[in-house]
Amino acid sequence: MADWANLPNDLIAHISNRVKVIEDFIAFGAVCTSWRIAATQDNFDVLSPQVPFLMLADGHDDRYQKIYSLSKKKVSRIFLPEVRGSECVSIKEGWLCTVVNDTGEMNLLHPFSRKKIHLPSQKALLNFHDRVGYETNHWGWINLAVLSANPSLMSDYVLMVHHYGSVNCLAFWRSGDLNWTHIDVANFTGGVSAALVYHKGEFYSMSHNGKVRAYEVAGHNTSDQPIVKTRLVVEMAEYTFNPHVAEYYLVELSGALLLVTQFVKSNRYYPNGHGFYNTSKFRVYEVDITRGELKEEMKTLGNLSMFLGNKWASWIDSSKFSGVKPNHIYFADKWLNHCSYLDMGAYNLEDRKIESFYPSLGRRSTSSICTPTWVMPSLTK
Amino acid sequence: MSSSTKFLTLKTCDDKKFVLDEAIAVRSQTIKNMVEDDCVSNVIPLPNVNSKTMTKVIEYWKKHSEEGVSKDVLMDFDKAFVKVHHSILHALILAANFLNDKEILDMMCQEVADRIKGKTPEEIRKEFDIKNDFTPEEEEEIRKENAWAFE
Repeated sequence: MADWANLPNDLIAHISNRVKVIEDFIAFGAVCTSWRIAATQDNFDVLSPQVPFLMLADGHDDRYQKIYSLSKKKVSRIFLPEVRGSECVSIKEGWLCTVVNDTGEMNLLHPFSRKKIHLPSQKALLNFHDRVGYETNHWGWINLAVLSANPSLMSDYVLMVHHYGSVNCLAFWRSGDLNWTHIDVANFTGGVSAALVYHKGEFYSMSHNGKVRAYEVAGHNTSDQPIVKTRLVVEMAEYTFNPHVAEYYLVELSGALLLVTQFVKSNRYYPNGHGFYNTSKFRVYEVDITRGELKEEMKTLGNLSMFLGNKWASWIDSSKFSGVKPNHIYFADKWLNHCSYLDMGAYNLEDRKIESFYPSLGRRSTSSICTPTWVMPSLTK
Repeated sequence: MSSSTKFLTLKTCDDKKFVLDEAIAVRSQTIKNMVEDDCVSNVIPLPNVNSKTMTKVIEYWKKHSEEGVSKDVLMDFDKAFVKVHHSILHALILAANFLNDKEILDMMCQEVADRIKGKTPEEIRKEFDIKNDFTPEEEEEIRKENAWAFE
């Protein structure tokens, strides 16, 4: 009789190596002792793409977060009390950048292991160029956060953040640095960064005035000066403050840099005068970095699917996963003026229609559930 | 080319003999090494492989050595080839490992991984007839570690 538990260790490991979805890998390691021994994190292909979860606040217990799996069409919960009383920005590599509301303490938080990496505080981030203001009249939040590499895999990485509010700044932290390093954005007109991405060794930002800039950050151990080199890559006049564009996303896709624009339509108005916006369409372009211009609009993503929302962007090859439709953009947003208003759906690039992907909520909701956030499941040591 | 066809005789653990074109048999790195090192006398013993499994392996080898077979046909063949009871899957993994045939080994391990997709630990145990050998304490600890994945 086949004895799967007593298969030689290296063969069990050979099988576990082929289990690419994290939930399956966890189940694999929970089958029996010998399989558990083989299913070490070293035997997991950490670079294998994963379908992101949608994270939502748990209405009943604020120590927990709800996570919705698209593949399994199922909601589960993670114990994550660190998120309570903090602002969180999700990062594609599977980490959250958190700021504690009361103290301004900043961390990188791994939501599934609850591992933390301490960052210099928000106070340190805002105290630069003789600007004092953290204690008085401060308001604002981390608008964008992007990593150059996954801290679970590399000890050498850079975190770039954009802080928006009474202090508007772009700054980075290299693993091991004692403080943030600011990028001088004083000369940037319309300098609010709308999107940020790491691409081919450089950070790219896009601002609401249609300018894409690249930032090359010197390594932590070099004495290179200046520490950061900035250059203007693309200027897109037609995108200057387009009132119908709600969000810009820069997406790194197989060596190419894409610009995705999300359009909204105002459907009706609340008695208080606030608009009620719905996503109407998306447009996808490739950015030609060398020529400094946008290529023709991409009408199809083929087998690929994108996940966008709250400044977060990623993609997967949908043919390798169940529950994800090809050529769709899955979006989940909370519009700034309406914390209680969600706009979520799956936009089909083929027929340009939007359908709901979160069954119990439908496309729009005015429930108390706040800030849907894409989070990438990952393992860390 | 076929004028110099050499044949090898393989003997499985249940004493069945298989006569096979050497060009096909050397898909097994183990047999290839033996041939190259001139250790091949009359019969190559395969003490870890039974005849039922060897029949499957040879079926695979022959199909993949045929000339003029289209990619689609091979893909359909492979698809059907892996749809076997898990005990045969298990035997093929051990055989492919002993014969050092990476192609079959990878394909079979992939099939196991595919059968695991989307299943709970209990469903996987059922699929492969595996006994849960964890103590209740160990099981509790495993659940705690990744509670979200078990809900």
